[in-house]
This record gives sequence, structure tokens and C-alpha cells, in this order.
Amino acid sequence: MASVTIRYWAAAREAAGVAEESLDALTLSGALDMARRHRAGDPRFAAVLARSSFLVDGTQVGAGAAATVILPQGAVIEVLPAFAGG
Amino acid sequence: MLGVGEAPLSVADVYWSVCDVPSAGGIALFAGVVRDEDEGRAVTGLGYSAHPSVEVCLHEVVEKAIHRYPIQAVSAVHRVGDLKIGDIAVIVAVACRRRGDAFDACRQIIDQIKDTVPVWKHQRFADGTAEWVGSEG
Repeated sequence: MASVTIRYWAAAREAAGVAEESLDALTLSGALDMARRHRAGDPRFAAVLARSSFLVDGTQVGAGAAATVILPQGAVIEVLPAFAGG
Repeated sequence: MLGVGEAPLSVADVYWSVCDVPSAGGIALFAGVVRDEDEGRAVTGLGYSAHPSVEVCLHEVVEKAIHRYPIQAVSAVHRVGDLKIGDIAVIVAVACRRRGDAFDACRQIIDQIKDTVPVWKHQRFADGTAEWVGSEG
């Protein structure tokens, strides 16, 4: 397990109720599962996460790799909701 | 011109930034503007925000277009902050020898900005509610 920080942007920050939180997790999907559990399965939070992309220490992690990428100690996970520029 | 900032955008400035190419015969310019309704609901304004990587991502979008089309000059600028109805949120301008390439490249750039550049839109409605566009499905 690594101690990691999740940083939420835009709609994710509003749904999470915080800009950042710290937790212990092994993988990206483990960290996200824990974040969902902290909110007792809040459907709005889960809906935003389902449409988000993720950076681990600034690098994009594909949805397929979320369960397998091991988080380094001190990693920063960024939750980027679906983009809506233009 | 490539960038993201809070200052109002000027079509004239963007046009002038790509027009000084004697061999370019076509300039395509797209302006994205804040609309007063969304899916039948009256909109009063938009708040745009962006991830710190936004300018890197914008550069990547433009580089892809440069690799695919014979672009002679290009600008792409996006505004963030609080915008009102009619304000310009984004401008893309492309100069090419011929109009077909200019239109196609301009279209690719604006479409990829919408898909891949980390900008978020918080939409405020006349009834006092608000939503993050596209974020909740």
C-alpha cells in the first residue's frame, strides 16, 4: 500500500466535496474504489468518476490499466472530468 | 497565437496573426460563442476552467493538424473565466494555399480541442441552477 493523494478538478471537486484527499491504496482502481466507498456510493460522485480520465503523477493512465498500475509512495492521482471546451 | 487566458478574445487579432502569408489563398476562422440556451433551457452564463496542462494539450492538437495538413499559419486561443452570452470562448484560424485544407484543418483543430484539451464548462441557467457540461453523463 502507498499513501497517495487524490486531486479532484471541476465537477469532480464539486461531487467529491473536497479538492484533495489522502488515502492508502495499491492501485489506481483501488484508490478510486476507496474514494467511492468514503461517499457511501454517492451516485453523482460515481457518475462523474465514470466519465473522468486519470493522471498519476502527471501521466495519463488508460482505463484498462487502472487495476494493474501500482501506485508509487506519495503518488498524486488527478481526476479530470469529461472535457467541455469550445 | 496559441494559448489560454482570461482576457477577451479578438477575431481581428487572431485573423491578423495568420494573414501575413503571401502564398496562402484561404483563411478559415472559427469562433465558438456562448449560446443563450442548452437543450431548451435558458442559459445566463458560463464559467470556463482548465487543468494546468491545458496549453501543452492545445499545442499537441495543433501539431497533429500541422502533420496532417499543409498549414502555412495557425492560431488557436481559448478563454477561461466567467463569460456571458455572446462572448467568444475559442477562436481557431488556419491559413493554407487552398480553402479545402484550411476548412478541414480548422475543423480538426476545433473538434480535437473539444475532445482532448482539459477545459471544463460550468453552465448557469436562468432558473438559478447550474451544471458541469458533459461531466455527469
